[in-house]
Amino acid sequence: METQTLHIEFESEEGALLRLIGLVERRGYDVRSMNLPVPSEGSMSLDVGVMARDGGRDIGVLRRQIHRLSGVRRVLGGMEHQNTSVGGQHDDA
Amino acid sequence: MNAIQTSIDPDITPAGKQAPTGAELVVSALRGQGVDMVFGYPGGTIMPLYDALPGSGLKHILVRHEQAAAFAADAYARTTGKAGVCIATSGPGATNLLTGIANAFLDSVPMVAITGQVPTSVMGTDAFQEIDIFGMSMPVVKHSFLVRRAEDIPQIIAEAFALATSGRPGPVLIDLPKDIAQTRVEKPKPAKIKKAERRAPDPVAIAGAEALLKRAKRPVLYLGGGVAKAGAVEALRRFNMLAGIPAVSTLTGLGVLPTDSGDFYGMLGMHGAKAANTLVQEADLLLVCGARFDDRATGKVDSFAPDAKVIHLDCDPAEIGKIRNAEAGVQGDLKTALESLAVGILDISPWRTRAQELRNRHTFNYNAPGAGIFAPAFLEELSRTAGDNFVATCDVGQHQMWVAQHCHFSRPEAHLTSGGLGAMGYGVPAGIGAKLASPDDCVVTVTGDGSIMMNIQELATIRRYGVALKIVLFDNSTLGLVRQWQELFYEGNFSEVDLYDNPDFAEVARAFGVEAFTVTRREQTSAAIKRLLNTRGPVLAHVRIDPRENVWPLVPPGKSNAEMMEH
Repeated sequence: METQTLHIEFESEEGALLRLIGLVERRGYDVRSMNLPVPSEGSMSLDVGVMARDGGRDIGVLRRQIHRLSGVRRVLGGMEHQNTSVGGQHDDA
Repeated sequence: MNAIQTSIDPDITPAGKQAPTGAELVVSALRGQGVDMVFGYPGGTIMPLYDALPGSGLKHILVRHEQAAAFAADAYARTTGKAGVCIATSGPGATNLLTGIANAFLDSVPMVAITGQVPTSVMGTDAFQEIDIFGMSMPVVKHSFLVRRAEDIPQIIAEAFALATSGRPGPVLIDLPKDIAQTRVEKPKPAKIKKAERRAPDPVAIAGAEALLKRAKRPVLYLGGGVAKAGAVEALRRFNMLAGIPAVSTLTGLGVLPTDSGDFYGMLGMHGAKAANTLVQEADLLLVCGARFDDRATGKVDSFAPDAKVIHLDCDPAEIGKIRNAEAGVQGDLKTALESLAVGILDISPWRTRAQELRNRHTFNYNAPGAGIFAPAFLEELSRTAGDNFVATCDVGQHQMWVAQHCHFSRPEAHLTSGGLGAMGYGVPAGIGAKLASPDDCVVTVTGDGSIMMNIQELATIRRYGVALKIVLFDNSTLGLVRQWQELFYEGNFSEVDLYDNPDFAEVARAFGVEAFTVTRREQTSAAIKRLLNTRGPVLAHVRIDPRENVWPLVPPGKSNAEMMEH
């Protein structure tokens, strides 16, 4: 299993970081690294290195699970390895 | 996205009157959201909110355990389509709500849960009844708020309702410290929320789905709870009236197509219909609508519908491809997606004939041996007799599966069940919520002797408010579903399932002031149903059944849906 890095942009609000990291761990990934720059004007970003605990995890699904959290503006990074295509209008790809 | 204002007006305080407290702002914001009924239980830190309730116009239903408040609010939401509201104090009140919040989360039910919190000055000091419910609830809420400033309350309430009801619905928690609730606010800020717009599906994705559908020879429509949540039931029915695709449903998708519809072949999965599971296994295409490939539906995923391509329609992009790859993933509003799919009449006559053959071959047998009451036959007759306004709220266990297999449902709101969480104790408080939400419906709680004991105190709530709920309690003096698994998969090692010392449930109900009667013999079935349905007020039918009776058919754990055991 390889580590992949997600770049997450989100609103600076109470519990936001806890919510993000908790979701990553609950969805079957280990957090391997984190970089949290100083927030600016209510906005924060997080670069998080994640590694799936087993082979059945699709980083694209994780990305979408993060993106649906309230306050998350954008999720970038991670290589999808399955052939599902999601037809819709996202800004997370 | 448009910004709109809610009905909260910051200048409502008449001259000479004191400025509203945070608690009063909560109440007025709830009224502004159209809330007319809330379920809760008071306690120390939430007392300011309870102080603001009398005369507010909000009907408060005092339950006897906070878990029941959440379950009742859940059922109220499922019945009305609006967010259910439940209230509890901090500490144990909040933790008692959690199971009900988790239930709403896993079944995508809109809910706003309001908890008291210790004053901000002592937060983090292990104060009396202090618990970090904001942190504890994170895995089971769509979002949560900890109120730090009273003037933010109108905005937070507006956001909570918008989040709970938009997109994929879910529960939102608002943790309200006592001092914030007591603070007077001279100039509350008006709420501005972004109006959630239903996201239209991508036309290219729709075209891809249409192409797959037109090529399919053995398509199956796989319906989940998301169809009703999206308000897409009529669109789905119209779509399939033309397309004529054999349909199956998950536990929470029951009623999307009426049980008696010619195109409906039953529930799929572990305790599904043999015909439904066989159709899915033989399908060359699954059109999945608002379902999430739950393991109870799919059995062993690797062998689930092995020859089928998948079209997955869902408002939640995170569900598409989570368990099963989709050749066509269509994310967006389900109703719009179904209305956009133009496939006309499909040329699948041989497949429809095959489906009919399967249905005819695998009908349920209601002629059980013996003279005792046969629960499946009882339920089938009950739902048929009650008619189209029959609503079942279920507890969890064998009776839950019998309801799913044997009751007739005319609409999805007719079947309220704890699908994802599988929470024993849901049935009675859910029955209260459903009956209060829709008094003209014939609401029947179907429970077991294990489940009812998890919220039996709510008989007092039924009595207090005169809730004309009908309760069918199947009593086999055992934890039936666990016993069944121990019999089949644990070599008959019946460990801690014997409830031989149950109380006399009819006596218990009468002690709470609820009419009750007991039946034991099969020939009493019709009379019991008649009495149940004709009683004007609340009534409990205590129905004794054979503890050796199992739920059939069954897909053994870890097996493919093709490996159903029928007896």
